[in-house]
Amino acid sequence: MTQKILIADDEAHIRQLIEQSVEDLEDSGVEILYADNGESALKIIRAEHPSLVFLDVMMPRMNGFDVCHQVKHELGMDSVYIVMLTAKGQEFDKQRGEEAGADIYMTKPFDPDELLALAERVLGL
Amino acid sequence: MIRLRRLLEKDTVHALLASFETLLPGAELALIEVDGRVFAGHSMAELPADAVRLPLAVRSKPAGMLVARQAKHPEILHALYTSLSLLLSEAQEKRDLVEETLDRYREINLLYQLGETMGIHVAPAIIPEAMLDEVSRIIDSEVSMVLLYSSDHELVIKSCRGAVEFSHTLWAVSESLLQRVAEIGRADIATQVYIQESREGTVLCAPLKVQEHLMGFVLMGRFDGQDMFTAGDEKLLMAMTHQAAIALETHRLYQQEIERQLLEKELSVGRQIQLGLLPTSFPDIPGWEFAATYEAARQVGGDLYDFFHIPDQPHRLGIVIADVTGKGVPAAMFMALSRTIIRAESRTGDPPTEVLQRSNRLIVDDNRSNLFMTAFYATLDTPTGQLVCANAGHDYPLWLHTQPGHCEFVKTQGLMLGAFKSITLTEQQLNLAPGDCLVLYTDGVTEAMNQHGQFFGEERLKAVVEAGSSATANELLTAIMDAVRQFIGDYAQSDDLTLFIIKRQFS
Repeated sequence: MTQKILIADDEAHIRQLIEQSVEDLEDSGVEILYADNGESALKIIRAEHPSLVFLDVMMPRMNGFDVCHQVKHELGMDSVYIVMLTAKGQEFDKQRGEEAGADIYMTKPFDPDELLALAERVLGL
Repeated sequence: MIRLRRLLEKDTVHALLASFETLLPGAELALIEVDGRVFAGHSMAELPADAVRLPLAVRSKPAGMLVARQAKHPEILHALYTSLSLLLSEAQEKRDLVEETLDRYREINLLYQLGETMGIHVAPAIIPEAMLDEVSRIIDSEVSMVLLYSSDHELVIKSCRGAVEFSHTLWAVSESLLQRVAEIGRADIATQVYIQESREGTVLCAPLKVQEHLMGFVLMGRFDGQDMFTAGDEKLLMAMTHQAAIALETHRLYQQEIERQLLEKELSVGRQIQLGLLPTSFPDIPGWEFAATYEAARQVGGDLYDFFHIPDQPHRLGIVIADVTGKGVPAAMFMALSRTIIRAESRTGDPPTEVLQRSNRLIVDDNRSNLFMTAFYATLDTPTGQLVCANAGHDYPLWLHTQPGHCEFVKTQGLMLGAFKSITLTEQQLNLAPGDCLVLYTDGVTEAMNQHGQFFGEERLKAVVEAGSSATANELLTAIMDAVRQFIGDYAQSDDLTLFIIKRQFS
């Protein structure tokens, strides 16, 4: 089965930065999906079962915490590895992230190499 | 390998191809990746022989091709080809921008991480290592190293990465670059540097400095056709070395503070030793007044004054004033030892020259600390006022003759104690008449310094003493101390100050 990564961020340039950081994984057959708001992220997760989700905290319609909570607690899809992305300088609410079930959080500007290494690890590549 | 799917939106291309197919009735169009996979358009399992193939390129590198079957209007096909080429070049530019942003992301993270790493490493030995680890993650080089100034201002290699066998050569060929970097205070690049004959390259160097304090350099070399270092590398290395320099400086200040605290502690111990050994009161001897004071400077020295009865000779007093070269606990210990030796030697009642000469021998034999001391020792016969003395390099005592009211320095010379195995001292005899006064002091008095760097000096001391010819010993002591204090003002003194006054009362 094709492994999938979902990049959910309302800012197109951030999506592109993440995509370009992990695009080499496409050569290993990984499919990259995109969402520009929380609702569509949730829809895609439900339908596509990505193994890894980069989830922006501040997104329109549904924020990252709520998406994460739904996925991990209500849909019971706790095998989906969720990376919460937060802007530097903006204090990440660790407790809220933990409660929502996020696996890890990263601050923007993220380290592209670290992002790729994390993706490889999560996908077992 | 360039991939169309990374550059173009599939939907956009599909729409574009579809619209051109309407302009080219009956034509089949497709975009094929370099690896032969169809990216968009008609799936062509095998490329038909009659197909037109138009190779696409991005910056002269193959980027797949546009394949067309039965396209009857070459100019329309060409328009499509041109549009695709334009789209590709725009997309590549965008990718470059993203890549550039990712590089900035890498740099920011690296600097952030470096800051954290440097913050954690308290041991300065680890800082150069940690720094090269981080630097080499982002700036490639064949050899890289950290050079730091040692305590005697010599540059030494503290850490090295890559082809370490070339480290000394790289350093040698970069001498003028190092000098330039030291002068301008920021990173710089040297080109056309030869690490070996026919091995040309570039060298990047950044100073490790905080404000004006230069601690060393980071040197990086690339050779044999590796890319030259760029202004970006220069800037980045500068930012990183700045962080490392701050870490090194912080450590240095931390270390300095610890040393200061240790010294402070040592000084207070030294002071306690010293104060514990000085006489706190004088015996009541009819016809005589004694007064003494000891004022410690911030740095405790080894001043000593002592006063005792010679055993079995109730009318003879032993009087000592001495000053140990050096400061702190060692000086105080040395002073304690010397005091004991002089006291023990004086018990025989021998003349002061002999007492000091024998004391010298004992001190030299036991002198492991390389300290010396000046000492003045006298015996005073209280009924007659006859004072016999010897001086081992100490400041000349000041003799105030009340009749006719003038002062003279008792200039007896001699070598200091603790330096030579055998010394020969000269004996001098003074007859202290009623009203006469002998002022003993250490160089802390005459060398008390004011803010203009002037010493209090012997002449000022003499003037104060002469003015106090009718004063009691205590009054004279107070007058001298007041004059010294007034002279130095708020200026902090580096030496202890000891004053010892012996006065024969008028009968």
